[in-house]
This record gives sequence, C-alpha cells and structure tokens, in this order.
Amino acid sequence: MIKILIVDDHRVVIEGIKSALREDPEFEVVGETVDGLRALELVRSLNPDIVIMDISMPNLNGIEATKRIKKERPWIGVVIFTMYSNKEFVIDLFKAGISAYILKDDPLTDLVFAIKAVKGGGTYFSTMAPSVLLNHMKELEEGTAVKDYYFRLSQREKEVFRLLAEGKSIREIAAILFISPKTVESHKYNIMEKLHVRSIIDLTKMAIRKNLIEV
Amino acid sequence: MEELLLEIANVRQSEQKFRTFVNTASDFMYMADEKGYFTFVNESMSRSLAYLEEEIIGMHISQAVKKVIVEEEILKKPTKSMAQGEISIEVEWIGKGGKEIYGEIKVIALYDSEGKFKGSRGVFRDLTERKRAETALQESEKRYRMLVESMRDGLVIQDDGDIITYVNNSFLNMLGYPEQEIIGRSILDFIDGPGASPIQKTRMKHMEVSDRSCEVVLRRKDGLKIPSIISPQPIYDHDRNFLGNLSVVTDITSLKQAENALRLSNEILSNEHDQRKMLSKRLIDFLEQIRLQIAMELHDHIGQNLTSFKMSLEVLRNQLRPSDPLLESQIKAIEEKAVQLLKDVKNISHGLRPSILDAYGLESSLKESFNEIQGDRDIEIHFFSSNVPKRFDREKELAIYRIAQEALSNICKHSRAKNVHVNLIRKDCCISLSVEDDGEGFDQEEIMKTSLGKGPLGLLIMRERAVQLDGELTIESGIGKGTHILAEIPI
Repeated sequence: MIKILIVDDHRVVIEGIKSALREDPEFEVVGETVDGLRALELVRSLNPDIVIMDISMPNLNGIEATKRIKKERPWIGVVIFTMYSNKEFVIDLFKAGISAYILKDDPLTDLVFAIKAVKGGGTYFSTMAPSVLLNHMKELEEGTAVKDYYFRLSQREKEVFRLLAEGKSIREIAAILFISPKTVESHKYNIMEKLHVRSIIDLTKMAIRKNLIEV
Repeated sequence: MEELLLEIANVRQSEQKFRTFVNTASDFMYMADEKGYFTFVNESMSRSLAYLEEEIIGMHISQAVKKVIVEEEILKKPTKSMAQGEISIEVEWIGKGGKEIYGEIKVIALYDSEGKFKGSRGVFRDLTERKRAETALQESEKRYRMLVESMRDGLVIQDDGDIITYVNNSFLNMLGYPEQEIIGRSILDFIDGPGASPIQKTRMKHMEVSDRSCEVVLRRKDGLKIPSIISPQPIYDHDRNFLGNLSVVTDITSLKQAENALRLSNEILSNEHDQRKMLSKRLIDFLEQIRLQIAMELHDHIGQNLTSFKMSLEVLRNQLRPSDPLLESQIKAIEEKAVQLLKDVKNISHGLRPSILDAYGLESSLKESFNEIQGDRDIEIHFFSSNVPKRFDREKELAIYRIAQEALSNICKHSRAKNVHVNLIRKDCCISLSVEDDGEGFDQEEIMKTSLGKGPLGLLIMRERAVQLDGELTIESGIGKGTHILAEIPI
C-alpha cells in the first residue's frame, strides 16, 4: 500500500484526484487538506509515503511547505501537481528536493505513473520541466563564458557606440540620429553597462580592436 | 589865438578819445534830451537794436523800450533820488526787427548850470543771458515740481532727525491726512507695527547700505492699512554731511492683491493637478484590482473546475476502455478540448496578473513573459539587466512590468519587428527600462498626443503609470525607424 496525502486548495481537484487514485487498489489516500500549514501537521501525524502538493495555497504556499516537509522527513516523496510551469517555481522546487512535477493539464495517468515511480525511489517530470531546466543552464553558461559583449547591443546602440568612439558629443549624436539628447544619454549609459566599460576611452579602445572606427 | 587853437585841438582830441571809448564799449550808452528824444547813441547800442545812427537819433525812448513803467521812470521829472545820483531800472529794449534785449539801465539825470533838467544819460548792461538762465532754472524747478506732484508714488523728505519736512500730493492722498498734520512728524508715526526698524536703521547705516528698500504697512488716517515699499535715499551736503532722507513710497496694495490672486490660482491649479493625479492613480489601481479579481476567479474557480472536469472525464474513459472504443475516443476528444481550455484560462489569468511577479519579482517575471512571447511568435527579445535589486517596491515592480508588457504587446500587434532589445538597468536614482524594436515605427504626432492626454489608450496608461510614481516616460519613433520607449522610475 502507498499512503498518500493530498494538498490542494480546491476541493473539486482533490475529489478529481481521489477518483483517479481509487482505480488502483495499491493507493490509499490517508488524508487531504486545502491549507499549507495543516499539511505539515498531517505529514507529522499520518506519516504518508507520498504528498501530492499544489503550489498556490492559503497560509503556507506549496514551495515553502515542500521545503519544510523535506527538511523534517526527507524520505517522503513530494509530487507537485499544479497549473504553474514558471521557471522560477520549477527551479526552486527542484532545489527543495521534489521527486515529481506534473501539470494539471497533463494526463492523469502521468500522476499515477509518477506516484509509482517515486514510491520505487525514482523521479517523474512533466515534459516541460526538463526544457525549463535546460534553458536555465544555457543562461548560466552564457553569463560566465562570453567575454565579448558587443552582441548585446541593439542596432541603435551600435550606432551610438560608434559615434561615441569617434569622439562625438551627446548633442552631436542626437542631431545625427534625430533623437533627443536624453535618449542618447540613456543609450550611452546602457552601452557602457552592457559592455562593462567605465569610460569613453575604454569604449574607443574596444571600437578600435573591433575595427569599427579608423584610427 | 595859437593857444586857443591848441586848446580847441586838445579838446577835440580828447573828445575824439572819449567818442572812440564810448563807441567801442560793449555796454549801451545814450543821451536823451529833456523830452526823451535820443541825442546820442553809441555804436554798440544802435548795432544791437539794428538801427542806423541817423534813424535812432531823434527817436523817442518809448519807441525803443517795452515797458511803459520804465519809460515813465526814465522820462519822469527828476526825482530827488535821481538828483542825488543814478538809479537802476530793469528794462527791455525792442530792436528794429522786434528783437528783445533785457538788461539794466543806470540812469543819471542831467541839469544845466541853473539847475534846470535838460535830459538824461544812460548806461545799459545786457542781461539777456542771465535772464535766460534764470528762466531756465525756474522752468526746471517747475518741471521738477510738476514731476514730484504728478508722480503716482509718494515722496517724503525727512531731516536728519527723521522728521518729515516735505511730502507730495500723492503721499497725502495715500495717507488721507492734510499736509499740516504730516509735516513735522516722524514717518514712524505712520507705519503700522513691525517694519519700522529698517527705516530707523537707514540713518545709522546710510553710508554703507546700497539698497535700503523695505516693505512696510502704512496706516491711513481712516485706519485703513496700506502695504507699501519705502525706498529711502540719503541726502548729503557738499561736505558729505548727512541731511536726511528722500524716500519714494510705493503703494503695493494692487500688487499684493495680484500676488494673492496668483497664489490662490496656483493653489487651485495644484489642487486640480493633485486631484487629477489621484484620480488616475485610483483608476490604475482599480484596473489592477479588477485584473487581479478576474485572474483569481479564472485561475481558482474556472481553472480548478476545468481541472476536475478533465480528471473526471479521464476516470470515466479508463472505466470504459475495454468495452467501447468509439465512446472512448469521443471522450478523449472532449478531454483534449478541456485541456486546451485549461491552458487558455491559465494564459489569460497569467496575463492579467502574473503570479510570478508577486513571488519572484520583476526580472524573473519579465524573462518569463518574454519567453512566452518568443515561443508563440517569430520575434527575438534580447533582454539585458544590470544591478536591478531582486525585489523592490511592489507598486513600482508592477508598473515597470506593465509598461514592458504594454510595449511588447504593441510591438507584437503593430510593429512587425524582428528584434526587440529590452534593457532593465538600475541607475543612481532610478530603474530605467528601455524597449527598443526594429519594426515599422509610427508617426511622431501620435506620440505628441499622448502628452496631451490623447492618443492610443495603451500609450497613455503607460505614461500615466510612470508619472504616477514620479517617473518619466519618453517615446521616440518614426515611420520606418522603429520605436524606442524609455521609462525611468525613481526608487
């Protein structure tokens, strides 16, 4: 028997899950609650094998509740069952040590598979979760690997960059590009931030290195 | 005989000398007989009066003199004073062309050996220039007086003991006192309450202070108070001794009234501005509140019920599976529709109020939202952020998020842009959001309208969100030039 606690702030959803789990005699729903704090109490008193957890909940949200459950009883498998697929949620929950992440619009059979997999010591993730994590890793790599930030500039920023490197003043650039000096000022600030340069001299050196201006 | 001839010659010579002297003298000299006819006139006189000698000899004095009184004086039988010597008479000659010469005649009566009056002799000095100078002085004094009396400002002269010695009419009118009740008193008697001290100090400090103007309240005789400006100027004599003050007193009642009216209208304007700002804040808050309500309703009620509905279908289908494959596939189709509906509801609710913004802040929510946009469309969003705090004022986070959201939604709807650069940068005093696309752009006039409260509602609300938080929003665009939106919100 697999002892299951269902935590979801919507009764209709709890009922739906229960009816799906009822099909399999291996599953025993030992408790249910719509409140995150209450979930912690039930975990302590019922000691379930699996907690099916939603994210948005009153009093204590699913992420916090998961963190506390995993801290107190790391052997309990937490299966997230939610409508949210935001990267931030996924990553935070991964860090908290969840074993499965299922979206509410995934087929219910996924939930059943997930529970069984987790009970057997494995994991199960909805199709979107790996792509979210992959994206995140890519971003992290880009952040550390790339040293030449010129690609970050927009077309307009590249024009302003070149004019700045040529020694043109803000007013001159504004006149050349038909934009307001305030906008040029803002471009200049953004360019320097993006390229990690601190002065017009550094900026000019960079332009020379890139053969963007003639010396 | 020889001696006689010699004597005669001597006499002639001396007469000649006398004649030369008389004729070359610049003063007029004449002699008249006892009836007042000229018997001799020197050259200076005949020339100045423009007569030939033969014309003026034999002419009666009255013909050449303007004033009858003078004529009488001259022609009068010798008085005692005259007998004793010369008398001085002011006289005005009239020349041949009507030319007037003013001056003074010293007249001496002439008598024969028997003491009988036989005429007069006069020496005249031309005083026209002096007279002209005097007249000019009088004129200038008259003009000065007119100026002082006609000036709208009051004029007060005080002596070195602050005692009033002169006031003009305007000052009298200003205070409503007759002159005699003011002259001899101190100006301090007419000043209401504080403000008197600077005037007193003017005497002490008159040497070093250049601008001694001060605002005071004068008290009229009828008790009315008159706000005024007094500008005293010290008066000195030739030896730099302080003699007193000459003060110009300006009634600034109407100025004060205008000032008050201006202040009042400024207050009204500022109140209206505050009201407008408050109203637009409440509208935006209301908008957010409604969105939040709908989002929650969609997510919690419809979303969860759809989830439950979908799950029930799935359970039902599993129960049917072995018996009826046709029915099973029909239920499967309904299930798929429910799933699609669920996704739609999720997207709408997320657009209305991104739950991630409340949980994870601005930067994460923007990335999330850009990923969604890019997933659906052929557009690349290049997002750059620097030094932005993970969390800051919730209202500001929401405002910046909404501005970016509106900008991106406009870009997707209208611009046909391929690339969008979004920069979110923390500057010294503010968070700066710039959204720049390489799309078709639009007419700058549309943008102008937004600053007048017209133009597309989306742009208006965008600007209003920035202004509400004391920020600024500028939009630059041009047909074929893409659009650049820059929002700066102080934090």
